[in-house]
Amino acid sequence: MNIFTLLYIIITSAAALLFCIMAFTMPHKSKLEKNSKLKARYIKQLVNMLGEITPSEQITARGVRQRMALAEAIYIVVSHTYGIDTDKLKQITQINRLERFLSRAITFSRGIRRSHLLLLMSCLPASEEASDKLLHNINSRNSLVRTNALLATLALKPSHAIKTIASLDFELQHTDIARIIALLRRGLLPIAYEPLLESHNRNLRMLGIAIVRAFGINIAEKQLCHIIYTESDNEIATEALYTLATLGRTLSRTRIRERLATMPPSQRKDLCRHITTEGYSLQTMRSLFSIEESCHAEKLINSHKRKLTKIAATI
Amino acid sequence: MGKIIIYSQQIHTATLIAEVIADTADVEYCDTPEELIRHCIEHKPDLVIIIAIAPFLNGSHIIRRIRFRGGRRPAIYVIAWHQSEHIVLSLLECGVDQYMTFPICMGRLQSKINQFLQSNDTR
Repeated sequence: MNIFTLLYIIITSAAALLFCIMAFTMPHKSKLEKNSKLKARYIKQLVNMLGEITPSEQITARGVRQRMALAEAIYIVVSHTYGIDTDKLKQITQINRLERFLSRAITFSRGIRRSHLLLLMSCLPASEEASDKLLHNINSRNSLVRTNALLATLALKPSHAIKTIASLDFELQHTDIARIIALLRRGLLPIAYEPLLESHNRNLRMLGIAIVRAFGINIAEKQLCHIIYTESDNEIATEALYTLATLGRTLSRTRIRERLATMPPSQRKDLCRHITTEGYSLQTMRSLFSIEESCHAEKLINSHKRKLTKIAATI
Repeated sequence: MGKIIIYSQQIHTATLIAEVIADTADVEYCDTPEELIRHCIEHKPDLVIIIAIAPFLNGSHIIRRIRFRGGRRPAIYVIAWHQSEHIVLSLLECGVDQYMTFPICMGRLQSKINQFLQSNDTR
């Protein structure tokens, strides 16, 4: 076999391979583009419909592709806004049978796809009965599925929020709590922070602390201090300490110092950094931490990052 | 009618914001910082809405490039999910005029932009 024959074989096989790749990817790409355009069209229609006082033309979706695009468009609009007219959204959902469509799709899907569908369901103004069908997903082994199922259940049945969170048999992570807080910000969950802080359930207590931190509830200082003094779970006590520092409350109390002394060095250093960036004085840092740890705080204060924050704070 | 440029890497979020303010201004959107700068030079917008804080963190001096010397100095609004005080203060220090957090109220955003464009016209 001479060199030209070899070159001919290589070039033709490369061209064949390229053709195959293009044949497989092009339709997929154009399908994605079509879906994206459809979703954008539905977003525009939804925004126009929600912004109008007089009822306009109905939004219709027929078939799997259109219904999925409409559900995703509703998710984008609902998750990024608050104070929208839910009656109009309910009407769209009922006309296009989105609740039934998503419920069926959730039943016949697994893993990431199921978690995505659950997320879409959490933004749909569906009936409370739909949440009962999702309950078994809360105990899924897949963390994404169970978190999104929890969000969907909370959004569909807000009156049972505390009961649902209290009955969870897994520990809520920081990311899960942040997503519940996002629901609160949209005004979907009517939860008061006080009963949560007094609860003996770990998940409810963590959520209560997160609410205090996210909404800057200064009057919760007493309850936070009580948690720091008495809580046996180190994670909850640490979270309460962080929250107290974020609120800018007094930290130089004897019992807080005692609690700090029980913490491992790595956690203490992390907390020292947080307290420093929150703008506490070096004197407070020296009263709370050892000389070496205070030196770390001093370095941070003198650093460029801290200076930038200090200048900004004077605006 | 005022000119507004929206920058977001998530095209559907940009579509949502663009549609909310579409009645009040001439809206265009782009999904890369380079495209944003190019649009700013070509169209000379009254307002730039940036839906992310990432362009401020990568050292690209985006505001300096948007408000280039000798050109028009558009107002810059940022909309993002972050609520940390440090981030908000640092953005204001960078030169951002307004910072808003998601979720937004469509009516309020519309009236805020309207108010800005009207005050910009009278100036």
